[in-house]
Amino acid sequence: MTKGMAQHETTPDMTERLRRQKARSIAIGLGLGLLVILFYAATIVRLGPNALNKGSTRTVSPAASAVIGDPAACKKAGTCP
Amino acid sequence: MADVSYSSDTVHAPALGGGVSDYVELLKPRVMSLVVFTALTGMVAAPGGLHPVLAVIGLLAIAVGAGASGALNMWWDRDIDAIMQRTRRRPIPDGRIAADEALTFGLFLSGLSVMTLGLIVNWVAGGLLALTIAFYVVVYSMWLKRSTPQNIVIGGAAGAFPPMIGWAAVTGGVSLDSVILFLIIFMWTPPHFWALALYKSSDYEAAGVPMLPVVAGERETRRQILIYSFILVPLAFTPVLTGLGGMAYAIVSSALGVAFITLAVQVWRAPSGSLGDRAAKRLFLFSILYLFGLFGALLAEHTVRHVIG
Repeated sequence: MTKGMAQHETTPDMTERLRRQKARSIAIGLGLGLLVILFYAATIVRLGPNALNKGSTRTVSPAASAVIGDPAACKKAGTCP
Repeated sequence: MADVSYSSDTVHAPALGGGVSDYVELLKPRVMSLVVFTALTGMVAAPGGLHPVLAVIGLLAIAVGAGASGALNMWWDRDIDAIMQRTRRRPIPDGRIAADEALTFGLFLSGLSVMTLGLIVNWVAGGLLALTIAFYVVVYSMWLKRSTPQNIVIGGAAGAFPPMIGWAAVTGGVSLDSVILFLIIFMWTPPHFWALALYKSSDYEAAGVPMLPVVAGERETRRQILIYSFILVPLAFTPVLTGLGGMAYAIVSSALGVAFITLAVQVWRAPSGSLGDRAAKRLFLFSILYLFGLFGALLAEHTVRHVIG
């Protein structure tokens, strides 16, 4: 038997170790996946309908509206130039 | 008492590495199931409501926290586990998982479960879970278990917290009813474990654990079991007085209570030897049914109330 062949030879112990290592890796992967799903679901539940709010219905104060050039709002806030 | 000279070197680190089932065994799944069941009862019985998704996540976090404390307990007790017949096939003394791996596993899951419960549900529940893990590992396993025969009396608090955590997950606080649920498990623990210790006393003696039968003798243990049973059974009826339990709970609690007292009296009157062991074993097994029965009745009643509205 050559040295190169001996390096690639697998014993039953090595096979079993690799099998357990693979099973552990799969379990960790599934655990992490579950954690991601749970946190995603919790975020949606916690935020409720606001989770889909992209800011288009945001309320702007009269003073701020005056700054961005809304005449009605600046009249109400008394900040028209 | 036996001299315990075990060290972490006695069991060599496993050459193959533990399998997934070995890690699951570290979490003490049977204890976890009782924890989940009592925590669920606390959640369902609590006034108010919790979104089902958050409730499931909360229960998972409580289960993982309980499992983590089990892993840390196995890490700490690996020396005496190797001596006792009942525990010598656990993953660490059996050489399937290295002690350091169990410690890392337990610490990681403890942190993860507390953070998850605190961030997603609320920090009262998260704080109670952290207290439970710390109490079980530090106060019970590291301190009381090997130093006093009152170990499971005080240490029993760790197993009594889950319904209170479930209750806090829903209400964000602690109330008289959740304290009653805590006290029921707290007072149930001594007769439950002393019944086990009565017929496993040689095991505990060999490991140097000062359980009551080892230190005070069988006669005194039987007397203590009877005293605690007489405190437990009326206490288990108090949810009826506070309105937490209804008619079904009153019937179940009374019937199971009479049976519990009867078995405790049999243990008290039984002679030493195989007859005494048999009586103790009967009480030990029945005590599990007793707790499941009480919490099952509460769970069923409150589930019906939720459904009916």
